[in-house]
Amino acid sequence: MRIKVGNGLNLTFAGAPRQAIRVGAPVRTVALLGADTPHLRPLMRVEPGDAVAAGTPLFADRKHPEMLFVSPAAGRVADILRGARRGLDTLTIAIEGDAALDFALPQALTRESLVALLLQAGCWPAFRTRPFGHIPPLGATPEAIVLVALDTRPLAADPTVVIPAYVEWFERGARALRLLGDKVYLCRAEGADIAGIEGIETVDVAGSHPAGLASTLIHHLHPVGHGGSAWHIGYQDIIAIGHLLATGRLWGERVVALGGAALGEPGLVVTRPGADLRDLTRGLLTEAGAQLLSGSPLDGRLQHHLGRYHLQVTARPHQLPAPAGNGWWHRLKVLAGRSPPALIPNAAHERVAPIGILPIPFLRALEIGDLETARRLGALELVEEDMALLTHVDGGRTDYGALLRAMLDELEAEQ
Amino acid sequence: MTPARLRQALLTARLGNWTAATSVLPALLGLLLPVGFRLWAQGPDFALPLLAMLAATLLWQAAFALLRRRGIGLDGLVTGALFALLLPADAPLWQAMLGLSFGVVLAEQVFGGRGRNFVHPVVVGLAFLMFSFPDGSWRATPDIPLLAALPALALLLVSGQASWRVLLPAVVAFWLVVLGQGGAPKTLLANGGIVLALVFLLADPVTSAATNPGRWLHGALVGALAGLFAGGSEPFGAVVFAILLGSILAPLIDSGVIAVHTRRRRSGHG
Repeated sequence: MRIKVGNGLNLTFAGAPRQAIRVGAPVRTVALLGADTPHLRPLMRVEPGDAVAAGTPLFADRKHPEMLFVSPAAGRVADILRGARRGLDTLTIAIEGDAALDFALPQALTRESLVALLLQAGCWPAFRTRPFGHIPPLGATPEAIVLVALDTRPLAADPTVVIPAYVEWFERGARALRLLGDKVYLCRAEGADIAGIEGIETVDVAGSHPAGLASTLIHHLHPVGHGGSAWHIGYQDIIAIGHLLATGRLWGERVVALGGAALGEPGLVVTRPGADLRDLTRGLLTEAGAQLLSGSPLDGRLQHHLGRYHLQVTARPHQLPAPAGNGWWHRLKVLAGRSPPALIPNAAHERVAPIGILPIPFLRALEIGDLETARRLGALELVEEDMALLTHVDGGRTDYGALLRAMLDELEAEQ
Repeated sequence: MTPARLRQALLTARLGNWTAATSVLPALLGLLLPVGFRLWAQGPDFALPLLAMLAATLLWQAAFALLRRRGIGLDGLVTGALFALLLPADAPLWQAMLGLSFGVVLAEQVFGGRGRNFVHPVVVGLAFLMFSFPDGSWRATPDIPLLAALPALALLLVSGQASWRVLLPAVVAFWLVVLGQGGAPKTLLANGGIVLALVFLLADPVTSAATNPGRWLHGALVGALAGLFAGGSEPFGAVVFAILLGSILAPLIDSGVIAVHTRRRRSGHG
């Protein structure tokens, strides 16, 4: 099967990573971040100071106590920072030693035993759903699972470099996922050297960003805008599941692309999930005060640790506020900048819109909070990352991703 | 420059983060040549209305900005200069000021300024004058050479602000309708004033249809209407009225497109 994405745009950013894997600088802490799971109310299993091994449960979802979030590394719980409304902000683990839990592997791999293992080993949160982009609820059966083995984000790691290094685990993980869903798709970039897997439909994807985003793929393979649901999982989480099935232990690594204008040697590094970005980029930053984003230059988050679903880090030069000049040009800019931004439609909006979305009516519906129109126009197929290009071409003053999330929350509450 | 490099450069120009503030720049640049031509041709006879229109626009913008505690964009310069350009040479200044004020206040500022309006203030101002002072020469086609208007066309098309999806069907429909009535579409279209009206007023990104299929329909509708109206009167007046009607109908066209789009999504995707 082949998907051709006609519009889209590959923006060029400085500091593209060299697509070769090296060992990253050692990190002293790893963290789990509430920003990755915004609606989760954690049920804490540990306290600051507790010793943990790789795989030790740290907290569970209050609504589904079986859904565990486990420590990616051995060490000591350094700090638990609570967020808004009893949520989690950051749970930091100071790394010590290399203790790791051994998970009991099932004799025969069935759907039930696989689900139980994934839950126990904290691999379940690797899946996310459309609509809404949440971790799937327990007991749900996906209508389709999309395995995403391409990445079209700017400055991203090339999966055709990462997957061959772990191909055994990748294929083992992918084969196991056939047990979970009726329909499983493996999406790769067209011409990519990634072997197909029996029982999984291989999908060749051609086109520019956002061609490789999960929402785009799901729109083509199993649209959910008017009912239904689909799951997606990233290629490194598939490797992690394969590793778990092969060894009974967590895969304590991630291959992360370091890029951006403020990074000295942009490239792919092996590090830990949730790694401390300051440690990881030690000695690589070309200027003091560079800002570290977890994620792509389009929609990365300014934070100290690698996000759960992020496979790239962007170092951008510190953006100083414009000098407070007295010139007429500066005054003019201040005066013009004071107006709340209005949407001026441009051909660029049409070009970078998520697939199957009428961008201007959709953005207008988002801006005025018109729930019904947004739903009719396909809001349920999208998550924040799908709006990143639109926010970018619009000058970045209106965060359409945040507006979309607010709208999705309301739509979810209605259901 | 290879074609690929050229394409990339054009795209960068198009995608250079057009905010509400900076999106005015291509329009301002495009107006330089027509304004320069009129100043050269008419001297103070054009300088005075130009300054008056600019001052009036900025005054209304400033008044609303103060009232709402907001900033002022540069778009007022485009509105003022464009209005001055499209006025007939012998226009009474007070009437012109009245028309401009009507357009700027009632078609733009009361809705919250540029980007939130649904009709263009210049169109509304001109239509107001054509209605209110039928003895005047408000419908007369402005005297601007075609060449002076072409940079504006190019700049707005390249910067992605004027959509060819509106302009092309408008020109084709106009052509066909005028030809069907036995007119001469080429002479009507080969005028700088008409081209400026089409580029700035018809293909205005804010007030034209907001979906690609809607843009085709909107353009064709305005072109056909302008062709019909042009049979009996000055072509410029016909174009302005057609654009006014088109802007009013554009939201309806868009909701039709959205309805079809939604139905197709539903049926195609189960």
